[in-house]
Amino acid sequence: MKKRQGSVGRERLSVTGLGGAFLLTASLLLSGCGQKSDDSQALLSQTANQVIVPLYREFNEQSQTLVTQTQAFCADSEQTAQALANVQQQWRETMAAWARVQPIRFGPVDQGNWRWKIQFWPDRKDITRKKVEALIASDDELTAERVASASVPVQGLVALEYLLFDPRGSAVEGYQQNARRCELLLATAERVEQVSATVLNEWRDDYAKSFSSPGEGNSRYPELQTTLADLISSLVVGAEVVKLNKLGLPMATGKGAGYAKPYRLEAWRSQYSLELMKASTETLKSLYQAEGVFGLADYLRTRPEVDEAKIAAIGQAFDAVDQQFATLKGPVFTQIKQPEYYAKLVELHSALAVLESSLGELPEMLDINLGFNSNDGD
Amino acid sequence: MMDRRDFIRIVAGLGALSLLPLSGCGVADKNAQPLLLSGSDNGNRHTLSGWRLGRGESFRIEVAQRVHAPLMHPNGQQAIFVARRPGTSIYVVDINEGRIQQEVAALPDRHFYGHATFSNDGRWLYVAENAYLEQGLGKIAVYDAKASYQRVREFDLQGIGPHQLALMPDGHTLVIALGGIQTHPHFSRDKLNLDTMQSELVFLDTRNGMIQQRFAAPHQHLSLRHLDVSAAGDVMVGAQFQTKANPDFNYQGPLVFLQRGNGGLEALQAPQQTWLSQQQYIASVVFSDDGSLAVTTSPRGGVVNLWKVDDGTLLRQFEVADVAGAGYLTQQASFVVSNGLGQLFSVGRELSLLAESPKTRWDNHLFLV
Repeated sequence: MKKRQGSVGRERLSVTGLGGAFLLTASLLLSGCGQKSDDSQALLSQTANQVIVPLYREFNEQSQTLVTQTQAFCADSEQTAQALANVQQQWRETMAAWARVQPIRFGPVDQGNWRWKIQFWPDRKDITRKKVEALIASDDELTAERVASASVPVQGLVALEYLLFDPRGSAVEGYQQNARRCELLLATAERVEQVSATVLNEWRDDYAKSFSSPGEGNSRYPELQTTLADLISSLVVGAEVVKLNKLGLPMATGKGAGYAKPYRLEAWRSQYSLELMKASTETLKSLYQAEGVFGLADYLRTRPEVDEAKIAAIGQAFDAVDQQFATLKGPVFTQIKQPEYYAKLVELHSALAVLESSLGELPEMLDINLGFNSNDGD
Repeated sequence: MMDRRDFIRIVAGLGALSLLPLSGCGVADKNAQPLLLSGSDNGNRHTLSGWRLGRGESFRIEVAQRVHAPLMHPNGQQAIFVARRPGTSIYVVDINEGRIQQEVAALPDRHFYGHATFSNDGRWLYVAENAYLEQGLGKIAVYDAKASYQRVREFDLQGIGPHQLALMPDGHTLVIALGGIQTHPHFSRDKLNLDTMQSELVFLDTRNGMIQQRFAAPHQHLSLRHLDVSAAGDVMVGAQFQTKANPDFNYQGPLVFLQRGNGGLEALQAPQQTWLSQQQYIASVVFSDDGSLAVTTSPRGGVVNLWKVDDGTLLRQFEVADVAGAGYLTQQASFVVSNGLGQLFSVGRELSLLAESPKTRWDNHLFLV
């Protein structure tokens, strides 16, 4: 997905750091073990292997199921509404799995420029519809390879959403009358599955290791601080993306319900934007503190220089966002212009702003610079 | 037309460039090619840094103001480091002794933008300045290198925000990237005129101060900032899109343009995906000596792009986190880039790490003689 450029905390922000001169932490002194980087080692390797890789695995598995369901739908000569509903539901699962990896702003997705190909959003001019229809109307053979070489809006989950949910594109009759709709649906689903497998494999076979072992000779992560900066900027940028791109811009924040723009919502066609906001926020929480994992919050507690109150504030900010999510029922798309519902969105927006600003304290808490040249602006 | 094999031949020979010693401070060898950098450490202490290729760092001097772009006097003995916006100092460094010879201060109602260039004979230093009490009018001030960098005159650019500038091969025309963005030191680095900004490429005759030509940026919110001039007089300019001027608009267009002869600005050719990967922000632009190749850097995208100049097409893209500074190394026919992680890389057929400096963040630009 695309986030607003030009403000603090752009993706793949990197830093230099303290040259590996880590302070011995309290827990290390207690355990008496000789490795000075035990805490950071645990943080990075557990975050990579127990939080991030499983999320990519989930995205890949959901994509596989989407291919299977689509095959079943397309192979069925009747192409029933029920079979289509199954594919739609599986698209929701896949999209939610993507929204869970979306906040991770480092690794193969960004290195390989996959982000836009997986999700072309925002798409203000609805280029997706034009390009998808043009491809269906062409004489090209509709395969995953053809989709891979097509323009970016045709690839990925937004094109699938169009095919599955747009009233003009998704009626069962449309599939029955033109076999090419199903061919493209399947080819695109297969392409998403291929990409999800590629990023999963790269994470598992290469990136997780490099992320877990910063230091000399690791040109991607020459210092611990560089790695922490990637993790922290994912949290800060991720919170901003939910607050601004997923919620604030469609709300036309500050202008009121009458000015809201439902078509700016992510996944407006499937009316699934609220679930996706929740999914991304869940990942932010997992990156900060996942259950059973030595996470960033645990790491912060081992740092004598970090103020305990600030750690607590981040936890409270996550809880407050969850509480606001719980007050919202039904799709945002159909209700965003209703003043009562809009008022609840304002509350959610405020809670997300508090979360973003509390996470925004992390760089200073750990003496990390997010992107020296990236944020320079000259 | 140059095919891939020719390209490889041109950029071959990287093996000759050995890994530079990490911690430098070796004996300066006056024959080794100098490299100038500026940087900051994590505690925001700013430094000027001089290197000799193959011999490591020869000096590092702490200074009060953060600088932006270094350059060498044509005599090869003196380095100039200009403070970045809204800085007010120019540091003049004797590179053999590794000490500051002079600190040139801006006029009371002016500040620098971090960029300057010399006349071919080294007599005049042309410096981009902000007349912020005059609605941010952009000026090119002329300092006399022979008279202790006395400020002798200035040229008005009839526009706002001059940034990088370079001398054309005719020796008397300056080409200036006018960023178009008004700032005032009382408002820190805030951009004050995003609604009305107009960025241009401006050609100025230093013999009479007349503006010869101006080319508007292809989009109102594209700010032209960094440029280089090839031996043939081609001008390549890199832009930064001002997203805050228009947060709803998602600019996906070109960020690097070529101006040749009497023609206008022409976008380099790259897939939309490539432009997207630059994150709407170009830091440095540099030509190879013969002008057939060029490199642009994007710290936000963490990518270095290698361009073929004659047809404006992309040859390669390399990933380097927070990359910004770029220069060209004549002897090795290779580009060199620096980043905010204290790393230096050579960029040619492949990307290879040259040196790492701990606790150092290399700033926006580097200079190679």
